[in-house]
Amino acid sequence: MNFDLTDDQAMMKETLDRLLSERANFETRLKLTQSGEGWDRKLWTQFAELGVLSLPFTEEHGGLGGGGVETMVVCEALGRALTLSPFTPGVVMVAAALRSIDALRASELAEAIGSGAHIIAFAHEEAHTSDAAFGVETRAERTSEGWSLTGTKLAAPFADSADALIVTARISGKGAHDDVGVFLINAEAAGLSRRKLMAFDGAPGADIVLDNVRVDETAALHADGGGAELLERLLQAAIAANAAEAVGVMQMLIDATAEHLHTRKQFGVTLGSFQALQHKAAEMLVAIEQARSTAMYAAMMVDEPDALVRRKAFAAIKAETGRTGRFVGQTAVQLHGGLGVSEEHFVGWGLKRLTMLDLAYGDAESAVAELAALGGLVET
Amino acid sequence: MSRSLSAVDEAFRQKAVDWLDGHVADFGLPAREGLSLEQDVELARRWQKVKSENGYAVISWPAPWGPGGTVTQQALFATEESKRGFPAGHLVISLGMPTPMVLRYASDELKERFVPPAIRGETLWAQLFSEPAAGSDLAGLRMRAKRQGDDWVLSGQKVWTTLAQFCDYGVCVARHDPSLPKHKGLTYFIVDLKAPGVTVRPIRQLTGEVHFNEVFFDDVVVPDAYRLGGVGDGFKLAIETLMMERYTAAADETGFGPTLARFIELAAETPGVRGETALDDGGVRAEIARTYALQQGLVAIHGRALAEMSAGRTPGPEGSIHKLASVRHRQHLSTLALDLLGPDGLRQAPGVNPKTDFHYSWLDAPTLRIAGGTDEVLLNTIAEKILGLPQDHRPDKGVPFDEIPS
Repeated sequence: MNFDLTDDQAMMKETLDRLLSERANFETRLKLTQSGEGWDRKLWTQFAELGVLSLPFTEEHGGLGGGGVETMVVCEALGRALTLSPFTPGVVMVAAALRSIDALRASELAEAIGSGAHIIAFAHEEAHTSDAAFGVETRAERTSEGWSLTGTKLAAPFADSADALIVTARISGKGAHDDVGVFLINAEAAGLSRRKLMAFDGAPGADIVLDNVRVDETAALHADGGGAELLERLLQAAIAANAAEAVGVMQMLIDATAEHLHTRKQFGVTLGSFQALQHKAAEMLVAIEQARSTAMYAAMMVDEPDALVRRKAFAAIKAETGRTGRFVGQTAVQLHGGLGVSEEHFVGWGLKRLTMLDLAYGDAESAVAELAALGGLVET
Repeated sequence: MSRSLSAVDEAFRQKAVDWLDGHVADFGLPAREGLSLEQDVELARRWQKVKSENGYAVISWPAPWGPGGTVTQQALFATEESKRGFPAGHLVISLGMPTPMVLRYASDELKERFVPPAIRGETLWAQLFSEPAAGSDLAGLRMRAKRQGDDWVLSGQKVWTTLAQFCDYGVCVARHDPSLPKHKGLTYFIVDLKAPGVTVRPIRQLTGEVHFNEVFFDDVVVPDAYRLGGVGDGFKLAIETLMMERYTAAADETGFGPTLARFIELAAETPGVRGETALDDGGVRAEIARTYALQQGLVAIHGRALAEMSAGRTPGPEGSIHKLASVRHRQHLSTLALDLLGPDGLRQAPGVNPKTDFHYSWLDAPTLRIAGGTDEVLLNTIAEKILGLPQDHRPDKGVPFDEIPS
């Protein structure tokens, strides 16, 4: 295995880091959470100009053909800058969703997204979706022209700004994975209403009510009978992206914490000269390196062909990164003292974002349960 | 050892419960729903007045200030009050630390002027200790107090001052002589927060609330009569104040966070991965049992501290131990609760009641692990004062304050 970035990947990282440090600093983020749409569309256009928004789409679809590692590089940079952007739902997950639709339509979508003009959000979570596809109660019923969707989706990130939504819905039955469908629907469709909300890390989103929303055949992104598999791949793409973003946030936090320990003085010396605090910072570093390795593992596993191997890998990734992030976030806040719990300081927002990433698309406890249920954890 | 209440205390509790139940609608949880912090503090002041008119304010304080009840009775009342969501928390500092310090150290004239309105909730008191450069190292504070005839002139900045934006007065430590070693050059004062030169600037917290403030002193004149203790006694009095902070009779015996009942309710409403609801999940059940076990310990520690206080002794490490154990556990349980909440856990905290909202409780726990003595300071205290281990290195010990590198 080779863990070094290629020249192209390293250049992308450098360019993005520079852009974000100039354009997406913490003061800007605070302002964004307090007004308007809650994220920066101008910055999004600059992402488009850099090719970031075309990155994970295949060359066949007019994209740059980036893989898991390229996505990881971008998400880590976004995490480090605590950037509010719909990159994961609007680019990474869409790229994963275009696998089974016809090439012309996929190219059109990839182009629209790559240009920065078209925003897509992922509306999956419901009251009872703590575990992957289980608990989807939104229903998709057959009509003469296609489908009719009815149900309620909760706290979909960036959905209030989206032009279209990827919506999961149950085609038939109640509990089984293979009854779920994945649909791309216009956010302005008749029968669809959105209620704007703010997540606790300041990111915008919306609850969505679908009341008999009628769509044609082409809205279905899944192949017949392949909805659950597609949904699983979407969630895995998101988990990999979130794992990388979490590493970026964690890296930013440990840098800030080390800086604070070097400069803040109490008892006439720097905080860093107290061994109890050194040990805490060292534990953070151990955790981050563990998380970084896990994010790399995730980047490599998104394209693993064996579904069972992939499922096990992503359950492990989900179980690991979320909790690690919370530990790092909490420790960074603790070592910053009062600053850490003040809204005007970025450290606390790092903890909030890490918690959000832990909770998004299933929680750590459920991932552990899934892993235990899957079995086969040791070779016999 | 005995866990049951005496007949007198039980009768007191029953009477208090009946009385509290009669006021829940006007001052309890239902009355507080949707109030801003300012409105809630206002409600707390009015509630304090009602309590003072009915003999339930400062229950354990002797006449003429309080009704002369016992510490146990005060704790029983506080527990029942907290269960019903009365806004008593806003007065915990005012009546918990500054006012008792005024009672211990001020002249009779000042006691008569300041204490009764504080007991009735007409005035609120703040505690102004921490500064930007003085957190865990309280004795490193820089606010200056210069003698000027019969007065002192205070200048400098305090920070993390709880509820200062609503307070009328405060107790404050300032440096009267920077040429002395840092602990020795401090003096303790009453300050009028409405006096010219005082500026209060609220700080918004992670939870979105504004409980804390920066307080700036720009040549604020304080009469020498407002000095508590001798010149140079500031650090001793500050520690005395903090000892009260680490254990107040109003401490919530089960640990400030949402109740176990609330967690069970939530688990029962959540579909389970390993069973019909999360309540059928072995992991969740084990967590509930563990929380129960921990809370029995917390209740017992609380009881031990109260017994010490009832016997007229100062509680020892019980406060530190209670705070360390309960806040960490509160954070842990809230983390699990957010998992159970699923997508609803992603929203901005819908409410700010620490007893019912896990969300709020989770966001607030990091603050509690810092405020009133960080985890690290408490652990140092336990290591040094109880285990008798050598003191952590204090390179600035004995060095004149103005020679300590900053």
